[in-house]
Amino acid sequence: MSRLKRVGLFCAITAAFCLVAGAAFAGPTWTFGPEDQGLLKLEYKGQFQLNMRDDGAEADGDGDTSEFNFRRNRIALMGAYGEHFGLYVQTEYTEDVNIGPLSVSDGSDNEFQLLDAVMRFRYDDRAQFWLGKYKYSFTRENLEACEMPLTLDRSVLIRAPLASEGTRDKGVTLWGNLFDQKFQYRIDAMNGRNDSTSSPESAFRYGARAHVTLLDPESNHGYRGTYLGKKKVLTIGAAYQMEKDVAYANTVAQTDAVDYEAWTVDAFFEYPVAEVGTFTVSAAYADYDLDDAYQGANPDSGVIGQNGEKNGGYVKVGYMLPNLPLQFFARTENWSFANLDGVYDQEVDWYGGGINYYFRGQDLKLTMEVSQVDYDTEGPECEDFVTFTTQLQLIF
Amino acid sequence: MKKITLFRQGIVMLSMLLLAASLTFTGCGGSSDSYDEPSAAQTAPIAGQTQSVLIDAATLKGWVDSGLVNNDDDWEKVVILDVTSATTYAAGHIPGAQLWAGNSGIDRFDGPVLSGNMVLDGAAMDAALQSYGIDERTTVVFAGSGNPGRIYFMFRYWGFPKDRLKVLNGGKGAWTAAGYALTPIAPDVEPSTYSVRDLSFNPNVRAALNEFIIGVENDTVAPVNTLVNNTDKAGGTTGIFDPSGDYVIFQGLIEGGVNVGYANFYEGGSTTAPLKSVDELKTLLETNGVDGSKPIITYCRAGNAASYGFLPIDAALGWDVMVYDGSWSQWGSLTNETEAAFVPDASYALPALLSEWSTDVLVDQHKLENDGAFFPGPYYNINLGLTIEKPTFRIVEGALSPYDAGANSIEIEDREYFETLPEGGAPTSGSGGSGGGC
Repeated sequence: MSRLKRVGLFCAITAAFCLVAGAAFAGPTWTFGPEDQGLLKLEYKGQFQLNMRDDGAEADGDGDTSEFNFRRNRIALMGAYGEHFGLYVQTEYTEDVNIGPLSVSDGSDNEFQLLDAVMRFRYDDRAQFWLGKYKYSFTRENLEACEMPLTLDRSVLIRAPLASEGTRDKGVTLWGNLFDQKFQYRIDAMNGRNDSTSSPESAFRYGARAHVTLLDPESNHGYRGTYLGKKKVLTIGAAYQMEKDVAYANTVAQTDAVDYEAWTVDAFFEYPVAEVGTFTVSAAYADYDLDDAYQGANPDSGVIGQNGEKNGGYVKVGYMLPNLPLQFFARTENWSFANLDGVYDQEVDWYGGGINYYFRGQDLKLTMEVSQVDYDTEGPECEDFVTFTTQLQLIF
Repeated sequence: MKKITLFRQGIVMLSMLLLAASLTFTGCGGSSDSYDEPSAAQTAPIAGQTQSVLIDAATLKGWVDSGLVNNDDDWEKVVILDVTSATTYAAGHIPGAQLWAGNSGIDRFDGPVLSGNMVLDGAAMDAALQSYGIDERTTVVFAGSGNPGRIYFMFRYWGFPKDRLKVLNGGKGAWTAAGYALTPIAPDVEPSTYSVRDLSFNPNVRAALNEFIIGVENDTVAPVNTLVNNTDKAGGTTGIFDPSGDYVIFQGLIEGGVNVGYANFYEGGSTTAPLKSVDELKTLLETNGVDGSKPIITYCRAGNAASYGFLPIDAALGWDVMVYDGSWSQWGSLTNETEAAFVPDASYALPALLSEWSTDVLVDQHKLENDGAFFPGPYYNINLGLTIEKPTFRIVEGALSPYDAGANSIEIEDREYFETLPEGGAPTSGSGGSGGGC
């Protein structure tokens, strides 16, 4: 097979499975098998940060904290065979992280994990079947590519309660694009809470998500936080998720089983204007309900806290210069938690702003962001703080 | 073409409306729905949910009434340990509480010297855990009239996380003060097969002799003497070893150390009262020059009063703190002096090969009587005609200096225990240990 033909086949397969995700300069690629139908691609994805926070250190926990660390430190193996099968496997190694989203710890929580391992079967664009471990279909924010957010990172407050794997889960998904890619649907059946003895039932978590995408379509499984002015996008989405008998409101007596239900709506708009620049707006609202289990006699620890019963949302805005790969962004979030660090009805406001400078698109990007977290009720475990982060992203 | 352009303009207008709408439901504060506080009083839940080690009598009563104590059926269990004498226990204890009848320390070589009342080894700890029916579901509560700190320290050393350890603040007195009844009936408990190997070994809460020497020499630790009269020659270390009535070689205050008597950590200066508040504990330490910037090492005579100080610093303040279980009975026994003004005879001094272990060179000052004046350096008890305990030394290759790799012998032994499967190779119930097989 000629080199030109191989390249042509490669493009067809990778486009079909969305495997390259815009990393045009990243990672080596191998072909194998008859007619070179098999493809493998290897990538490193690193986000190295300098974090500085005006809180968390010293004996009283109020001193300034500084840390170099990796926000993401990943190796991804992407594969495809023919037009109907794809594979995505990704590892993550986090090491001694001290500065967390809402708190500072003494670190030492090293973890190596298989972040994603998903087998992708594609009948055609209307019907695709995934199984394995990957991002569950709920909020747009969670489904946005980790390396392509508009702001420094995605919201840390959107994780679903009692999910066995945080942003990912194990299960199966049927999804596809209809009506000339103007409409996308997804249906999930996943583990949800996978504990067998401490939850009332070992039920699956079911989810459904749909979006309408006008202008240029968003037809991939994953979204992006910005298309850098290369597309005109307007997408409106909504999703629902539920799991029966997910936790006890009274863990001592093992009574008062509660269900989990959540819904979200979101909108994303990006529009480049010639000689003016690219404007981006994204917003979402989500409500995670656990039947008010936090009011129970001895509620399960999973129904309270950062990933417990809560509701809130975010608005993100961005502007990218027309002739310089410099993007300004701002973000605000407001969340209400049933109970956070012992405070009932705790409200958290999160404000942030900064810049992205794209040396080589998303493959080499510098981001600087300053953010502030305001607690409605301050206490020993929840004091307002400011964080300044500088991050260099490399996809190689 | 014009139609398409108009369509796109309409879409742009729609998107701007969406933006305006989105701004109304997020951001700018106060827009998310609120939640109501529970109307009924909640029983404080068990492990993982009560962040504080200290609990009150009402919380413990709730657990007793819920049938959690010594239960073998549900997925959560509470074991109450009463650290006291058999007589006091028999006179009345919290329902379901078990008498901590085991040792709180054993004789062990710590580097070059045999030392008394040291932390329990793995086998002894396993025997204790199993006899009390402690297993992977268990939250352990220390609630009695004796010193819970010593046992709390050993549970922490062998890897129990704080959220599985609770201390009834104020002890048994808090229970009776709340109007709850005691019982003389000892519970019938089913032994477990649990092992410290199911936990994560945590030697960071213990200061070995070599670690303390290195810390003092390099000024990287904050020694806190919680038994103030240790600096007094009459404070003595009698009873640590047989025969009773003898004394270590010298007395004094460890270099860089401060005196904070253990009773000062408790309200009214009584160890049967609740601990002082966090702010009061901070103030107590800070006024004595201890601010938490360096790891604190508590010590006393034999490691018991040291744990009285360890508990509040670890449990309430969360500062970096260790118990020096060797304490003065060990520290006061290590000298290179061989003359009659210092030791009964030269055999009491460290062998020449172990000379780097001498600790009398790391003593700031001493007193000759209670509340008396301080004098520089150590005081050698032979000058008062006291009976001096003769140290038992051993010379081990690889532990000739505190800086040698084998110097911290107890923690090396204990880590080996943790990492070795029990005889027969049967794993217990958890994930500890890294031994092969099976």
